[in-house]
Amino acid sequence: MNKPPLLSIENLCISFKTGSGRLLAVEKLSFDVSPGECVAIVGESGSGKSVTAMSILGLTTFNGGVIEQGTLQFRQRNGELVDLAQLPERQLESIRGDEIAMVFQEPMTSLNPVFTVGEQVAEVVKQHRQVGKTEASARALELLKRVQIAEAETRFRQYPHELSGGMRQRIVIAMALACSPRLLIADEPTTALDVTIQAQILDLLKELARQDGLSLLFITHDMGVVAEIADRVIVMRQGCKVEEGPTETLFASPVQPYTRQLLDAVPRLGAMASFAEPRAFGDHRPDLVGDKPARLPLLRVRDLVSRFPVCKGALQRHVANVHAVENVSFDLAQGETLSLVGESGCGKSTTGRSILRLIEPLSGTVELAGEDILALKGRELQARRRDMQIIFQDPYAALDPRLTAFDQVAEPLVIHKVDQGSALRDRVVALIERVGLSAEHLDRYSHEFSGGQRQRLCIARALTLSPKLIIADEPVSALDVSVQAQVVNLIIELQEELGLSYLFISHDMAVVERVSHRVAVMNMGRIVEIGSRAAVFGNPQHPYTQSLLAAVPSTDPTTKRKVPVAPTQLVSPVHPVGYLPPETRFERISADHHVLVN
Amino acid sequence: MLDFLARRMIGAIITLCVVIAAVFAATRLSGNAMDYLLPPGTDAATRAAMIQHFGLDQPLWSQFFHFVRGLFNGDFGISLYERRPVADIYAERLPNTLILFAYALCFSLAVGVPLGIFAALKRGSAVGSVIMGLAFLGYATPNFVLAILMILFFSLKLHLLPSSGSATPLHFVMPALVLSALMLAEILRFTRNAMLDVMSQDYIRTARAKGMSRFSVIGKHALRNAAIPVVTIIGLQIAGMVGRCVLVEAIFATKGIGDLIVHAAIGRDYPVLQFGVIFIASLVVFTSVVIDLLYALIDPRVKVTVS
Repeated sequence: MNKPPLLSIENLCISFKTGSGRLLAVEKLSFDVSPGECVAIVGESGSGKSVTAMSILGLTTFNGGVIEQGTLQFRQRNGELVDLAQLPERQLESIRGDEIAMVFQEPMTSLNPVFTVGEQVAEVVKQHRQVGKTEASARALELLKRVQIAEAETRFRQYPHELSGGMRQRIVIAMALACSPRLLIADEPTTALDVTIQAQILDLLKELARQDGLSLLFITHDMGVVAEIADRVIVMRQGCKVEEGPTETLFASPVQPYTRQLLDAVPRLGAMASFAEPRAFGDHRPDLVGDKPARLPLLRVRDLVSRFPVCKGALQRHVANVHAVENVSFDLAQGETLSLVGESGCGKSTTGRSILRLIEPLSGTVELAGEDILALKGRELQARRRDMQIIFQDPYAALDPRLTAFDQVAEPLVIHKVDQGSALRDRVVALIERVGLSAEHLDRYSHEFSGGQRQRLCIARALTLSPKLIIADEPVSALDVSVQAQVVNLIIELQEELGLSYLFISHDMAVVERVSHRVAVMNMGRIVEIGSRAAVFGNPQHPYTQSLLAAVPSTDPTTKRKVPVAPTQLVSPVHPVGYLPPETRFERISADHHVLVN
Repeated sequence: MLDFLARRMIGAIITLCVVIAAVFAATRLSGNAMDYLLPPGTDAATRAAMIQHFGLDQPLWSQFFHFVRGLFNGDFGISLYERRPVADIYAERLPNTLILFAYALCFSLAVGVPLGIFAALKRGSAVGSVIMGLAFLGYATPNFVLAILMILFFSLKLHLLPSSGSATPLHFVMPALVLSALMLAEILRFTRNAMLDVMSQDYIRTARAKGMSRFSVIGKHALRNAAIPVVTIIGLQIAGMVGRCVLVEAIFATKGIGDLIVHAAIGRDYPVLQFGVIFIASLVVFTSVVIDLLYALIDPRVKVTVS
């Protein structure tokens, strides 16, 4: 690396104006990016990593930030060295999108909904090259092909809402590559995507960077992604650089305790291979030897079917169904965790909600402790819901912003008239302390809590009625990695203590491996493989399970994933009325391991 | 797209049928017109003859049938007072009201939208606050107060504009301004809020990261997205204008339909009233279909909405 750096950041300080004065979001940050190098900035939310990225584009003011001091030296194509912090707006505009381009986190919102994707890609070309409309469109089409979009000619004329998440992210990447930039900043480009799509996008970025020799500045919270893609890592925390080093060195021997803590908190696929039961992070005790008492059955689901009608035409005729859940059957025992894993749209959340009857299933049976839930009506159903509670993915949206923590947690007790007065208060305090918060938190509103604390509140709320079954729908997906580990530990501890059964819905294979006794893999509304955690992870039989496991980034940079993940064939779950889904037949691999026969 | 259009048209037709039935029922339920039309002390025979003359002795279903058949044949009945076809009366009055509406709508859009954008960009500055203050004033001032103040100032003091009648285009200036005050304020507020909302969206950040200037980002990426809520409010305001034009037409003596309908209602001139209400309902329904079509043109996501 004796080439002069492409980007050299020196002593960067960025502040934001808040209600209580100036907040320093980035403090004395310095680092270089060499030509052709991939540098990753890692940190949890609030570490200042995205703010840094925006400042390189000269868009700090977009979110109300100000560069207090520091230089951002960038070497332009013509060899001229400019300070991006001092450059006038007009000159910055000519660099943005041309020499420095950016890929954002949310492919759903980062494209303009009212223009076709082709138009949006062509726009970059028109902006920076003196070309006409046809030429720009031709170049845009070429770019769509380059980011491996199938049927590029058709896609070109479509709007963002007509494309899948992975496809949209490819469009955003095509847009970024339009003018062959020299530096590509990618801000959490795969966080919002499914794991197989993530693997494809990472492969694509690596390949494109290699072809064009461009430098990548990769911003992420995911250590697995870092291990896979980065040459060098910068760890940030609360606006400051904590540690910097080549990826392999930093992963093998981190110097700073914070880096070690981050690395320890990362769920690693395969870390549970020697254990039979779920294990909290940091718990390395061997499994207990001897016979375990047999578990009693709690939940029995048979042939559950949930469909959503699609209506078309002037008279809104019912023409088709979205087959969200098809013939799903499984058992869940007391004190056991069954995980439903799969990618978005596979029907795992719909299954959970159908069991609670938040969505009315079309057919099937759901028995909780021998009682048919689907036959219950009105008051009976309400009373039975005490035994089944749910924890949602987004703790920000799952709490009412106008209620105090006390009211949130006490509400189920009030609705079911369990307790009142001081008994109610005592019970709520006991619960809130059990989930790791304290009584003084009770008078606060949800915006005063961090993401992890909110999820603890949601767990406390779910526990208030001493349920037998908790349906946890992606309970840790929205949390930072160190917080995620703590919440996973809490969930495991509560199970041991209270004998809870969990239906754990997740897309994260490593988390699933840690918490589950048994696993069911779902695809296209059906369970394709079900069995003990050890069997499904150790001996995956269905091709879909295999591809799901292969796509998980390895958290060890020395064993980077070698095999590229083949683009999955998307099959529509929408079928015309009268469509008969194929028969569901399972092949027995072992006593507790079954795989769908196609 | 055709599906979408067909669905909206069916909805519009059903709405109009309900309106026609409701209007007919309401006018018949509100008492007998002859009680008002004939002078007190009219003998029973004359009264019966009059009732028979206007067909009011027929059973209700038969009156309704004649009424609906008349609507389809372009025969809207004869005014009970003026003794001439309702169609002729409206032909005289309608142009004035439509001119008034057109003036008010154009003025509100031409001023409200650019000022709204400007206020959004100048948020937090003195200019922005002044614009929003004026909008609030326009929103809060009752129409009759504004109308009287304008007459006092422009007609009595400056002798610039005529204060009543509808003879020349100049006669429409003041009524149109008064009529547009509320609409202008609403359009301004909605444009500003929509712009502020859109400007903080991720796709605006993407457009800026492409290297587009602030100006072209606003003109291309922001405006079309911001137009969606603004179009909604325009639709609602056109419906609201119908109600407000009654007062405005009365103050400025504009011979329009607002004035006509009020008098017809007071005097139970059924044919005039019925046609007026049906006409207004059609106008509102038509506007909402146009607004829905505009949505579909602006926002490609509208067409695929599955209810």
